[in-house]
Amino acid sequence: MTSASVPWKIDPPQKARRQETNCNESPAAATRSHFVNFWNIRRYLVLAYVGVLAYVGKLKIGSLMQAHNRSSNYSPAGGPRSTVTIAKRPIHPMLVPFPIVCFIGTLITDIAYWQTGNITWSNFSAWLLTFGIVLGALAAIAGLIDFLSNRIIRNHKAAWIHMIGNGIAWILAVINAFVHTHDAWTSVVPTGLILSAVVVLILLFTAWAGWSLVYRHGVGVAE
Amino acid sequence: MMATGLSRKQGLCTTALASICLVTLTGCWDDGRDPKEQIGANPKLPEQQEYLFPPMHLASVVGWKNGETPTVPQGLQVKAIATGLAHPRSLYVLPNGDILVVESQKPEGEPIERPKDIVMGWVESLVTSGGDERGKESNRITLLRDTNGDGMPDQQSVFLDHLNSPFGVALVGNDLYVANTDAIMHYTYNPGDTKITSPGTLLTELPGGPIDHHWTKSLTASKDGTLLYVGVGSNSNITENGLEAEKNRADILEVDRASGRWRIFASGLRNPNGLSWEPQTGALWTVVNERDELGPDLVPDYMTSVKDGAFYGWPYSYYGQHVDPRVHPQRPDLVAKAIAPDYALSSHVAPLGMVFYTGDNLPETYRGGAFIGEHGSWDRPDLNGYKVVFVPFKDGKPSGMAQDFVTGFLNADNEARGRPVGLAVDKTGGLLIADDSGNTVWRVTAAGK
Repeated sequence: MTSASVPWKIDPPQKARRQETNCNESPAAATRSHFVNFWNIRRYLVLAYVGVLAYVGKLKIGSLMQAHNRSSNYSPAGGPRSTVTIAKRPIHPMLVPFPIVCFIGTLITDIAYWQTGNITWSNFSAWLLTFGIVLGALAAIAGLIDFLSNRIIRNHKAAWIHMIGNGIAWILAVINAFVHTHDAWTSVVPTGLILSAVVVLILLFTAWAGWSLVYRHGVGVAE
Repeated sequence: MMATGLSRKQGLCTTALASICLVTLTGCWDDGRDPKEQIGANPKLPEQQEYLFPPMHLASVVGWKNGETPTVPQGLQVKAIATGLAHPRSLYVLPNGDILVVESQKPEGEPIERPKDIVMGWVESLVTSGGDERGKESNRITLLRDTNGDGMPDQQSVFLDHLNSPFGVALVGNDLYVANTDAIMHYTYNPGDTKITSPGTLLTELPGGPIDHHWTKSLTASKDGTLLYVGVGSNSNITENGLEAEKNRADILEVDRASGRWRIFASGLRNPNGLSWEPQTGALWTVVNERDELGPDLVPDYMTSVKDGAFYGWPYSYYGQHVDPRVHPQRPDLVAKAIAPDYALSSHVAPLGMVFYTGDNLPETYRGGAFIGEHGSWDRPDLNGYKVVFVPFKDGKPSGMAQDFVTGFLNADNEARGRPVGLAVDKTGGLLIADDSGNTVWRVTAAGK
C-alpha cells in the first residue's frame, strides 16, 4: 500500500500483481484491474495539473505574500496582473471555456432527451456534467489564486459577481450530476433539466462579468 | 475553533458546504423500517424516494474461517459438503443422487454507459474482493457423489466445463439442459456419468450480451417433460439502458423441448429466478428481484405463482398499479392489466433460489413449504436478506409469516462470510444451499440423520 502514499511512484510488487489480474480470465478480476487503472490515471492528471501550476506558471508562495505590494499588482501594460500564468498567458481564461461549453452542452442534450426519450442523450448529459465539473474545478483554482493574490482584482465588483456566481453554478452542477445518476426519465425530467437551464442562465451573467474584467479592466492583459 | 488562517467567513462557507453535502448525500437516507411489515400478501408500500445517490451498503466478504458454519434451527444440523468452489450459484440433484453444482460468473463486457457505472462498479469491487474465487476456473458444473450412502459426498469431478455463465439445469429422461446466459444447451446424459465431454447442441438462443445486466437464466422442465420454462431477467434496473434493450426480457419463456421454439409465458417479472412447481397444485412459482433506487423499502422482492399470459408490472408499475415515474413513455394500458404478486419477501433481499420441500428428512412443519435463498441487499442502509427463509404453504398458497431458516451468513460486524443463492433438496431429503461468496455448498438435515 506504500504506492498510495507516494502517488508518483508505482512500487514493483503492486505492478506485478496488477499484471497477474490482467492475465486472469475471471471477469470480476478484470473489472477490478480496470478500476485500479482508472484511479491511477486520475492521480497522474491531478499531479500534472499541480505541476503546471507550480512550475510553468511561476506560482510562488512569495507572490501571494506580495499581494499588497501595489507595484506588483499591475502588468507593464497597466492591467491588473494575473498570478497563475504560462509565459505571461493567464491560465484561468484558457480553462474557463471548457466547463462553460460542457454545461451548455448538458442543457442541449437534456432537452434532446426530454424531447426524444432516447436514453443516449441522457448518457451524454451525465458525461458532459462530469467533465464540466472537473474542468470547472481546475479553472476555479486558477481563478481563485488570481483573485486572492491581487487586491486590484478583488476591488472590481465584476470579479466578485464572476466568482460567487460561478461558485453557485458549480455547486448546482454537482447536485445536477447526482440527479443525473438517477435511472432513466427522472434523471433528466424535470429536475435535471431545470438545474441544467439554471446553470446556463447563471453562466450568462458570470461570463459577462468575466469579459468585463478582461476586456474593460484589462485583468491579466500584460502587453 | 476554526483552523488558523481561515477567516470566519471562509470557515462558515466550508461548514455550510459540508453540511449541504452531508444532508443531500446521506443525511436524509431513511434507514428503512422493519422488513417484517413487508412480508406477506399485503406489504406496506411507502412513498417513493429518489436520493441524490442511492444508499449503497454491501457487506464486505470475509469468507468462512475454519470451523465456522451458518446457524440452523434447533434440532437441525448444517455441514459443508463441498468447499473451495469457484462462485457456486445453483444446484441440481440427478435421479441417482449425484449433485450438480453450477459454478458461474457474471459475463464480461457490460458496457460503461455513464460515470455512475464506474463509481458503482468500483464500490462493488471494494466489497467483493474478499472472495477467494479469483484465479480459479469458473463457468463449469462440478459433480458431487456420495459413494458410501452417508449423505456426505466423497467424490468430486468436473462434470461440464467451458460454459458461458450457466445457471439453470434441467433433466428430462436422458436429455440434460443447461441454461447458459445466452442459450439453452442440450447434452446427452447417461445415468452414472461423472463427466460430459461432448460440446452439446443448441436448443435455442436466449437474450444475452453485450449488456446482459441480469444474466442468470433459471430453468425448469414441465412435469410431462415436453416444455422448458426459463427465466430471463431485465437488462437494467429500470430501463436506463433504453426500452429496446428489454426485448423478450423480464419474462418467463416457455420453450418447446422438441423444436426449441418459444413464446413469452409471463412478462413484467424484473428478474425471475428459482422456477419451481408447487407440489400440491402443480402451479409454476418463481422468486423475483424487484427494482432499486426508490428508497430502502421499495420495491419489495416477492414470490408468486406465474399465470399463463400474465403481466406483473415491470417496468411500468409494481404491485399492481403503483406507477414508476422513471419509465418513459408511460403505458397506462399495461399498468391497468398488471397483477400483484402473491407474497412479498421485503425489500432488496435479492431472492435468487427457491425450492419446495418434498423430502422427509426435515421435520413435518417444513413439508410442502418453500425455502428461499436471499442473496442480500445493497440498496439499503440496514442490510436485509443474507439468509435462507422458509415460507409455510397450505392448500398451495403461502400461509403465515416467513421464518428465518439458515442465518449466520453475516458475522457480528455485518461482514459476509457467505451469501446464499440456489437451493435444492438432495435424495435423502437434506436441503442444499449454494453459497457463492463463501464458495461452499451447505447441507441442512435433521440432527443425527
